[in-house]
Amino acid sequence: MRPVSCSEVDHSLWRYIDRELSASELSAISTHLKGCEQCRAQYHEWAREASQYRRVLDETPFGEAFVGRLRHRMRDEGLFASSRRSPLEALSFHRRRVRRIATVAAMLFLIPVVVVVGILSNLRDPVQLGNFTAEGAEGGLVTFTRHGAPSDAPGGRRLKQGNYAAGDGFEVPEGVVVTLKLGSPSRREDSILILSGPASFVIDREATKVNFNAHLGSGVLRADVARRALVEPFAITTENARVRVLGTEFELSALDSRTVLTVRKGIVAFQSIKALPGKGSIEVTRDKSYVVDKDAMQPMPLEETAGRQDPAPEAPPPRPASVPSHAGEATPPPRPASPEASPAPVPTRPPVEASPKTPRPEPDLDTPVDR
Amino acid sequence: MFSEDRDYVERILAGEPDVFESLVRKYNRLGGAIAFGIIGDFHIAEDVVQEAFLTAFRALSSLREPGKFKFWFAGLVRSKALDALRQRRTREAVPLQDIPSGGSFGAQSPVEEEHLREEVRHKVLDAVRELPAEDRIVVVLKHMEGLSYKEIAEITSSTVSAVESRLFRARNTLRKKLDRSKAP
Repeated sequence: MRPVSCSEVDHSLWRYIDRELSASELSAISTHLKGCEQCRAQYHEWAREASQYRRVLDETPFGEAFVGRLRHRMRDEGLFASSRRSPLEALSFHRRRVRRIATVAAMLFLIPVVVVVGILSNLRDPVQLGNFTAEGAEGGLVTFTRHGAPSDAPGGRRLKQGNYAAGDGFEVPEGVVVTLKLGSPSRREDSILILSGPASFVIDREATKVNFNAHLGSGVLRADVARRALVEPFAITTENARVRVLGTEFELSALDSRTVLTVRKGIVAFQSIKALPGKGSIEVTRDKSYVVDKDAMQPMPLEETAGRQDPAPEAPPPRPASVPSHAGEATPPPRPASPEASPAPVPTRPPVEASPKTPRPEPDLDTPVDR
Repeated sequence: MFSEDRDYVERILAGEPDVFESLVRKYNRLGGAIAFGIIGDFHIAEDVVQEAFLTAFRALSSLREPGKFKFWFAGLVRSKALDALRQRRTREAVPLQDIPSGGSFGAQSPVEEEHLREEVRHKVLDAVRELPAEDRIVVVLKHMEGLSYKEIAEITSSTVSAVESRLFRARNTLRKKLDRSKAP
């Protein structure tokens, strides 16, 4: 991904804070902010402002107290007393409903394209994609960015679990593992994504269960993706690569400007961000690892880059024992809870500890995000 | 989201009026954001939102697309808020009231930090109220409800680029006002 300039960041900074950018644009600006003190200071100032406005406007007479007051008022005015509609009103309502069903049936029969477009446009509405849990060091909390809120503004959410949707982001601290379940668009099994901290991961704002896109800014992601149809794309981008998945299990790491992909099961299409459309995509098969270095035009087998100075290979993080397997197995075997040996050297973080190193007082936790 | 609202509306019309509370719970803050954004007064905004819900309940059977309750209700709130603003302007000027001094809507304690917090809060609210209505409503919808530019544009019958430029302008104005209020 090409670096952005300070003036470009200044122009886009409010959209960055408001999460109005695509996952790759968010990542480009995140990368710039990490390296530019001036822009970072500007970001922190504006994010504090946004947080201050949110806190002040959060204290309103609305919420449950309002619901209660309105409920009393409606009862006092007898609006709930006339709870049952008259037979005539009920009949009229049912007639209208029958007419509506008949109209929809006619549309389905006579104008199928319009119905398909309507269904597809409904599917593109931002929806809840699934739920997540965090575990690991220091209480196992992950910083969760709700779509629309600054990620590190004071009072940002640090959670152990919750639901997530398009546009949401995760900042995973070192020693913490976050497991995301992605609901299946076609009633098949869920896909499982495991982030090992430190990691930064943002779901694309337009992502849906049918068309899932996300960005791994840094860190290690392990994915077990349930089989998907060709019209149900699943893609993860990093700073310099794109992974497109049809139904498989793989590990992706984005560290030190290198993106390394190791496939455990199935086949994954792997491509440099800099490649021309339709070109430079490698199909990576089981037990193979490929790498895309900074500014590389296409992936290379990891063995060919062994002469470079790579971080010492470390065991991949342990996966929760409950993670199911998908790729083509009729009766999935139980997964071992201990770290697995990697068939090829993959630069990863130290193994994640499943429990906190030292007991600490539990911080105040926000209630889980629920949409 | 829209299919959930359609279910609620159909159940209410089929004889389960208590289900209306689910819509109230879901959209009262949105209504409050719109009303306060237009009027700049929480007390009047609450009255407006209550009236809007009552109107919505009585007129629910006229809603042609039950799945679009959100935007229909937003339109009701907007219309009533504009009426309230017009009525307010024709009367004698009344000082804008927010909440009783020293009060948020929760419990307070007479400590210095609480006083400082309330002072900051009142300064921010005053600065927000002094914004032109078209800028205030986008700020409130953004920061109170966390809506996207697209959602704000739809509710205010505007465009995404207009929302973005109003937000930018409003935030600059707020920053200048709040920086001036900090000066000795």
